[in-house]
Amino acid sequence: MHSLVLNDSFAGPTPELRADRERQPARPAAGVAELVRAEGASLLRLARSLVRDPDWAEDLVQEALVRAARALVEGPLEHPAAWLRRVLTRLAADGYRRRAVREQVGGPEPERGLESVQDERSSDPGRALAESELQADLRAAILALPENLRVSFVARVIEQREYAEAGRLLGLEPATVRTHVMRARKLLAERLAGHLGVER
Amino acid sequence: MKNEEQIEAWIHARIDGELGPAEAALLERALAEDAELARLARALEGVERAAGELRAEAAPDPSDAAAIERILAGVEAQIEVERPVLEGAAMGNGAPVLMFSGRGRLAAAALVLVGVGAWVWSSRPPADVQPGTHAPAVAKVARGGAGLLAADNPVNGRAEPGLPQGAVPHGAAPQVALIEDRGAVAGPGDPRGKDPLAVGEPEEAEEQDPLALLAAAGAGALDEAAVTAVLDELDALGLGGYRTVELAKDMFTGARPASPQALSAAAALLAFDGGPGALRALERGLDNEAAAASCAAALVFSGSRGAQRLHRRLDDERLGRTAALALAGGGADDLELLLERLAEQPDDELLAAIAGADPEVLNRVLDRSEPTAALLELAVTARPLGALALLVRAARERETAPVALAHLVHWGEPAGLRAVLELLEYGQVDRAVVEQELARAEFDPVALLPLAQQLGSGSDRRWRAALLSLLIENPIRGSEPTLLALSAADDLPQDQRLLGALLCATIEGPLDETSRAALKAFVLQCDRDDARLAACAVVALARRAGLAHALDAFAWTRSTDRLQAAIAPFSLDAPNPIDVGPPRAFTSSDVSRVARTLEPHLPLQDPSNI
Repeated sequence: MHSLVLNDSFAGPTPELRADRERQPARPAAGVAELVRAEGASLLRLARSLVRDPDWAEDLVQEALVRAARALVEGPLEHPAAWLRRVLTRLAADGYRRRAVREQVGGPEPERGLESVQDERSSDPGRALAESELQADLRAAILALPENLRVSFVARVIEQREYAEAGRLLGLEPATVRTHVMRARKLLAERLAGHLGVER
Repeated sequence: MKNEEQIEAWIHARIDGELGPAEAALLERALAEDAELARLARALEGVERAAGELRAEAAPDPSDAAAIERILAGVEAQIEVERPVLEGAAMGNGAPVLMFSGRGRLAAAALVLVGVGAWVWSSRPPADVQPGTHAPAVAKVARGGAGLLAADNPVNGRAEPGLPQGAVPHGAAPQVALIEDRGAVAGPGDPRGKDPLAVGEPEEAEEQDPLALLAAAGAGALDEAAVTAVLDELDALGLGGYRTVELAKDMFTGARPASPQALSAAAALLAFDGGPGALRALERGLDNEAAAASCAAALVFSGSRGAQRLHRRLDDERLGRTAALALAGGGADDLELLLERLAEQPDDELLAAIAGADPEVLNRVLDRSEPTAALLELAVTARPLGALALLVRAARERETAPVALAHLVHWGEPAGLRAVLELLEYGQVDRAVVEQELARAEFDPVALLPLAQQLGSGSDRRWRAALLSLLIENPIRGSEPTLLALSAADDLPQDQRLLGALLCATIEGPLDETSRAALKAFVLQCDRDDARLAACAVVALARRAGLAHALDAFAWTRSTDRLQAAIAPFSLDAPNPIDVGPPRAFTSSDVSRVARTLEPHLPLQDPSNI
């Protein structure tokens, strides 16, 4: 039985099939792909400023975007950028807490808050050596902020957006963002007083 | 003095660069007068400075673009996996539906949705893969001597002999083994020669060295129990949980130089992990030449999210081939993607790799895909259960009919030709194309015997007539032994002997005296069965053995008149060679055409034969 050579005249899929395939979007979710293009870079920088591990930062961005995709099924997001930042910072905070809990084998789950986050930092000496204690504690403290303050602080201070721009991004009045930032700075200053040499 | 609230607002404004000169002067004076406010200002400004350092660390980087691509790939993979659920939700509430790709990944979706951990650790049959097995087919693909993932077929529980390049069918493949390549250059801590089964019992010195532990694991088979043991050991070394991922990543990036065995073991652990961090680490491992094949296989094993990360590496000059061969062990979506590429660029090695995939996955691909040349080639190469159905489907399509019919004609089993005859019977294919393919075919009469028996013993004479017509017009080359075997097969039903005789009568090449005698006997038997078929046999005999022998046989037939009428035109050079009486739709036209076809070739045209 000789081996068959494909007929030269065969022209591949039918025109209908080709057209059908061309009609299909290149990306699985066009809405999310647009979000990635529009927000991916700034979200990545934001994530990297919140968590030191670059892989973890990528994971955070990815997970936030996946959640956006799920949410988009329910309907359009009114302020997708703000939504993504809220989710991302929440995920980061949750991640810090989970990692802290995971370190305490057999022990009771620690209370949420800065202490547990500091445990996380100190439990990873290899990484802690590479960054200043102040930076590490600042990351932890930012993630321990109340969410509304955290999101505004990140938009203004970390992402360096003007108040008006941050307000548009977050769907808040600029004055509200300003108030949030002021409160956040003050809380952070209290948390980090020991590092800043301004203890009473 | 302004109140404290106003001072504090000025401090913030100064930090923000929004404080005018007048207010700045007032603020300076206020801070100089109030130590508490000055402390607050220093603290707030200290926060701003520290935040600036964080910002600087997160500044845009040239690697950001690649990171965004990885993220997009991960998002796409996750959404693709969840697509059925998401679309279901969207349809349920009437909300706008995301435009997802049409290519689903159903099996993998189910896998991921129930949780990778659940399927990885659920009970599985024991591994068949032997520890330390040498696998040349796999080792040749392993660059740098890296060990590779191998797997048993998850469906039938047997090892897939043709499983290429460590391809691991994802979607429930429970057995992962690391196949040792003893020719590899050992890295630090490589316990070469150590009992590979001693994964859970490392020597004292190795207990302190995670790389040695992984190297030992990589030298042997890793099933779930072994993976669990390795993970426990790593945990005991303070490298459990996410630190396992970090350890693997450091190995892949070269931050912790590791042996090929250790790299493979790390890839296997991450494959079982399957989380985003593990997938990202595996993706990084693709850039490590010694770990690339293992990581590619591990990505495929880990499920659709991992496989999707490989999709975009297919065009990579260095990694494309590794990715493609690994994906050949993936799910239906992966195979479809590879087939699209095969359609553009034929690749026998890749085709063979795909053909070695899980038969159930192959069947799913064949069932749901539009027929293309590459898909048909795959069907013929792998021959899963759905292959013939696909060929028949393709034979009805104008674009794919020539290729499909050719495959069916050359199928090598009766079912292929029978399908062709059926398609002919119902007018679903172009007869000229079939005849063209038959003319190009080199039939082995022995292989056709089952078909002859199948058709000869059946009651559907139309198929038989069609077969006779086709085969007589497309002579079989060389099968004296078959002829003799037929002549001796007295226990065969008459129709089968008739059919066999006609098949053999079309054999080209010299017939010896025995063969001619056998043919003549067949002609006589044909006559008892059906005068028209006997006429065919006589014509064939005349063609092959000469008119004298044909007439000899003809003289012994009972249907003298009709046979004479049938044979006469050849000698009289009449325009209508065979008159078989009132036409019967299913045979007469075929027989007539047979005769017309044979006419130019009849030895009667040679005067020496008359």
